[in-house]
Order: sequence, then structure tokens, then C-alpha cells
Amino acid sequence: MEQKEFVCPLCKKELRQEADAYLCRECSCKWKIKDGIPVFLKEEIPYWAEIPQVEARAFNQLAQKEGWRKAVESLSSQSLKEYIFHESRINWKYFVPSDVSGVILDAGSGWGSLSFPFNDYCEKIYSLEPAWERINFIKIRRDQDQLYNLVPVCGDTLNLPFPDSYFDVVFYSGVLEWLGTSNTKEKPDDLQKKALAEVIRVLKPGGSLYIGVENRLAFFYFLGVKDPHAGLRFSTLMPRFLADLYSKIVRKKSYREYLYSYNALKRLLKKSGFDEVKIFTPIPSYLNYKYIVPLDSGYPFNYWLKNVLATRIPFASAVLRLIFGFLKIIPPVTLVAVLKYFVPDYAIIAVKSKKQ
Amino acid sequence: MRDELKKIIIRQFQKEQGRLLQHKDISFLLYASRSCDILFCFINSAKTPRYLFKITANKDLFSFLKTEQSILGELSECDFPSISETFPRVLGQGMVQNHYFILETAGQGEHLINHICACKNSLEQKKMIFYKITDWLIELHKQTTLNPKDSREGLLEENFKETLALYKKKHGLGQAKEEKIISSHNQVSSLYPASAFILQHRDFSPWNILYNRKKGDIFVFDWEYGAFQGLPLIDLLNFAIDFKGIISAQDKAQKITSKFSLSINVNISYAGKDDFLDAFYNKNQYSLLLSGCVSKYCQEFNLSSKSSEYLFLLFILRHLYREGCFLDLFLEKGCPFIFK
Repeated sequence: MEQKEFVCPLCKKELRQEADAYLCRECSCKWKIKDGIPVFLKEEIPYWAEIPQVEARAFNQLAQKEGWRKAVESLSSQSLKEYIFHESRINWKYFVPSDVSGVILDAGSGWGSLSFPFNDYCEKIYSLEPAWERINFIKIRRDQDQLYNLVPVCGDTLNLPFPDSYFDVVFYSGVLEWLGTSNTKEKPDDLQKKALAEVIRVLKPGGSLYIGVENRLAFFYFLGVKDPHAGLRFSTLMPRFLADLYSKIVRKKSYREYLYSYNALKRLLKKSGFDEVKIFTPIPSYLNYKYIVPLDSGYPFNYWLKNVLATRIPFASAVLRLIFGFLKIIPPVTLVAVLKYFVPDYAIIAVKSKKQ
Repeated sequence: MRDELKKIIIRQFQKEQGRLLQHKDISFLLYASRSCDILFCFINSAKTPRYLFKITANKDLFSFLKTEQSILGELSECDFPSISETFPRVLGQGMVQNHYFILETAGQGEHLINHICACKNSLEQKKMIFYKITDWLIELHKQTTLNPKDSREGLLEENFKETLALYKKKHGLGQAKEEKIISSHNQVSSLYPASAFILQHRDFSPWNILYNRKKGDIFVFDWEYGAFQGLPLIDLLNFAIDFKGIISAQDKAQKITSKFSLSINVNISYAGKDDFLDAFYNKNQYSLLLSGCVSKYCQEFNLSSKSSEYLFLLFILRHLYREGCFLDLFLEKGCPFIFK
């Protein structure tokens, strides 16, 4: 039987479905189906997640046996518990020009904390994740909640197993910065460009990519806060070659967790073929925000500063009150023109040209 | 979805102003609130938003938006010259890509919290705010008092049961306390005036009020918990406890945080036990101010001291951010000073 929702991730040709695998007609690659999940990986990717692999396996067994909610409640990691349950992280959908009720790809879905909330609104959502324990949890949860428009896929963001022009929206939340670590033979930024090229390929004309990512020049990095990806201080502020040397000395491995500044993100996405790139700042972070503020116009940011942050300032220290008093007198356009380079995180909507 | 939302704004703007907007003239700022998502709509580099969308795809939250729409719709049809510009107008409603929305006018002014904090050491300014709030509530509640013909038996009972259920869900309730509460209700229910039901905001706190310094006016938003056949006085008490909480939090912040720290009190001003006692039981400047306002309000609505005390109990049970100890303090100390 021919299967059109998937293609061979390597040669992008059609697949034929067999009993427990997909077979590529062109290159004869065989992609197994394990426990009902298509696996589009040539080799298993080294495990990485918030909890050890042993715990993740036990977690999935408990989810299977007693229900996924109970399994999540039993997690020792409070932050992971909240991460899985918290649903407001999809509010950026209002800023997406394309149809969020169409066909969606959550690339690098983790434990499905974006896939599941989105499932309620869209026709179909593909949840793509290379770590087996995570995608297996997504399937367990999907089956128990009977959400059959959610399709779990074990695969790689660098080789998407989907046909051209298939998706209305793709999201990359907390993914871009990790792409460089997936393959140490290629340069990190080349890997990121390759992944973005894949996104362009699978997006429909006029389709949108959402990216949630940290800012390379976030103000707290100047104060010595460690980069949570590399675990190093000041590494994001250095030229890449220097950060690489620093990383090799301290961590004994290359620096591959590339973050970008405001302008660099715009350049990267425009060069990848996106027509329109809008950048926002999610506050306090893209992982768990209360506000999303546009950065292309000074007035919404200024309004947020004066009406939202201002309600917190009377309860802050004298130092913060002083800084805030100074910020209030700066004209809005100037204020955002400077501050946009130093906010903690970015939420980006990039739109593929309708002519492509 | 963005483009569909912008089209709605463009249509509304054209209806009001008679001219077209471009998509690029519209910016959105998102706030993910408890009950729905709010998109503030900025037009043509305006400093403040002109409209706001309240929008959700969560079917459980549809009812909150529909409540707000219904209440604001009714309010806009009433003739309230003195308060007609003090609440949002609903301009439209509908569905966009499985999401239910209402489009409202946005309020102008600064957050009342900022204004309260700005007049920290000025008792006169605080009095002015309180009098303004009290007068506003009196006006609103007078205008929305239930017509005796529309009153029905069991309305007080319904309010009471709903309130008690909410409290038990959050805090649990021992049998002895529940019996005392039910006994208070039974003592009052036959004496309670049949028409003493008003449009109750139910989330009336400084967080949901803007203050326009130039006009000297307030703007009250977030009506999604409102009820047309609600109980009087409780909105004023809600405001009072939250106001007290803000002042206390500011005092603590001034004293505790060191000059050189970068600390900020993120969870501001949910009133604690001391705030509750200072606001309602202890004799001080704040409770005297509150007592005057409460007295004025009760006179306007002919609320007896028994009824007021009963409403105070319901306020404790219902207050959204209430601490469990408030009830214990009331049961221990009885009628608050502000009603004496």
C-alpha cells in the first residue's frame, strides 16, 4: 500500500508500507515500525532527556499500566511535571498568519507538551522526536486520550520523512540550538541551515515556522549567568572560535550549541528562504511565558513596560526602581531599538513565500 | 490566524473611523491570563491599545467569555451617564479557527496598583481612591439592583451554596465550622431583603482597574466572573483587602530588600492574616477609612448590621485569593470593627 504522508528521509521518494516497516522504492531503505511508531532513523540517537533513561523507561511502563497522568504525577522532577502539563506555551499561534487548524509538525517534540494542546485545534499534528522513550510516552498518552489526529514519529529534524509542501505550520521550540550537537562531523551552523532547508521544503507556500529560542546576547549572560546548553559562562558572547577553544579546555568537547542574536536570526532565516520574519519576546521565557511582546514596534513593548512591569516595580529593590525610572524617560522607539538585542528569549514567526 | 484577526480589526476600525487600515498598521501584544488569552491591539504607533481580543479555544473557558459578553452587553444598554465610560464595550464576537473571541474597547489610563503605590505616603490620595471606588460601586449597584418583580425564592440560598462549595473545594471544611456557617445563613436568610441582589463583579480588585489621572476616572475590566444576581458589599470588601495587601507588600519591599540587590517581589500583595486584621478588625487609619465607606454603602442599600455581617462571611468564603485562616479569625472574633 502506498503511503503518502511519509517519504524516505534520505532520498525523499515514496514509501511502500509493509507489515512492520516502510520500504523506499528508490533507495530500498527499510524503516521499521516499532510498537506502532514509524522509526525514520538509521541508527539510534544517544539518549538525552531531563531524566535518566532508566527512569524514563520506568516512567513509560507506569504510564502504560496506570495511566499517563499518574505517571507524570509520580515524577520526581517538579520542573518536568510542570513542563508536560503546562499548556499556555502555544499562545504564539495568534501571531501565525497561516492556518493553525490545518496540518502541523512539532519538530523535536520532547514529551509532547506542545503537540497535545495543539491537537485540539488542528486537523492533524505530527509529533517528531528522535529519543525513543519520549516518543513512546507521546504514543501512550495519545492512545489513552484517544487523540488519533496526533501521529507520533521517531525521526530526525535534519532528514524529515515528509513530502514537500505538506505542512501549514512547523514548530521548533527549544530545538534550533541543539541541532549542532546531533552530528559532530559537520559545522553546527551548517546543520542548522540544513534543518531550516528541510523545514522550507515541507512547508506549504505561505506556511509558517515558529521558533522558540534563547537570545545569544541575553542581558544576564553579561552578568555571568551560565549558558544552560553548554554550561559555560560568557560563551555565548564570545566569537565562535574562542567559545570553541574555551569549551574544549573546560568541557573537553567542542562548542556546538549555537545561539543567535536578533540580527543574526533574521539573516539566518531570510537566507534559508523565509520571506517574512517577525521576532517577539516571550516574557519571562519561551518555555513558560505570560506575555508575548512584538519587537518591531516600540509602542507595545513600552506599554508592557509601563503597565505590566510597572505594577511589579514598587515591590522591587531600590536598584531596580532606579533602573526602571531611567527606562521610563527613554522614547519608546529608542527603548525597543536597544532592548530588543538583550531580552532573554525570542519567539520567531517565519513565513515561507507563497510563490515558492 | 493572525491575518483573520487583523481583518476583524480592520473592519471595526473602518466602521468607526471610515478609513482603511493596512495589516502592517496593526500590532498585537499577547497576555495569557487565567481565563483566556488577551490580545491587545495597537494601531498606527498609538501608545496605548485601542481594542482587545479575549480569545480561547478551550471549551471549558467559553462560558467565562460568554458571561463577560453578556454582562457588558447589558451594561452598555443601560443608561448610566456617570459611569458609562468606565467599563469596556463589546464590539463583536465570533469564531476564528476553532477559537471563540470577543472584541472589546481597551481602557485608557495606568494600572490602579501603580497609582496606589505612587501615593504611598499620602492618606488624602488613598482616601480619594477609596471614595471614588465606593461611589462607583454604589452607582453601579443602585442601577443594577434586581427588580423585586424579578426576584425569586431561593436566590440567596443559591448564592450561599455556590460560595460554600467553592470554599470547601479549596480549603476543605470541618463539620463544626460548616454548622456555624449554615446557622449564620439561616439566621439571616429570612431577614435578607428580597431585592438586595445586584450586578456583582466578583473579581473587583486593583488588578482589574485602570485609573486615568487626567479625567480622574476609573475603568473596570475583566467581568468574566460577574453575576447579575450577585450580592452587595462583597465587591467593596474584595477591593479593600487587596488594596491593603498592596500597601503592606510595598512597605515590606521598602524595608527588606537591600539597596544593591536586584530582587523583585513577583507574587505581590495577596493579603495575609495581618492585613485581614488591620483592614477589618484593628482600629487604625485604614480601617477607619474603610469603615466610613462601608457605612455609606450599607446606608444606600439599607443593609442591616446582621446582613452586613453575613455578607462579610460570604466575602471570606468567596474571595479568590483567600487564606484559610480568614474564616477562623472571623469565627473567633465575630463581627468586624468596620461594621460597628
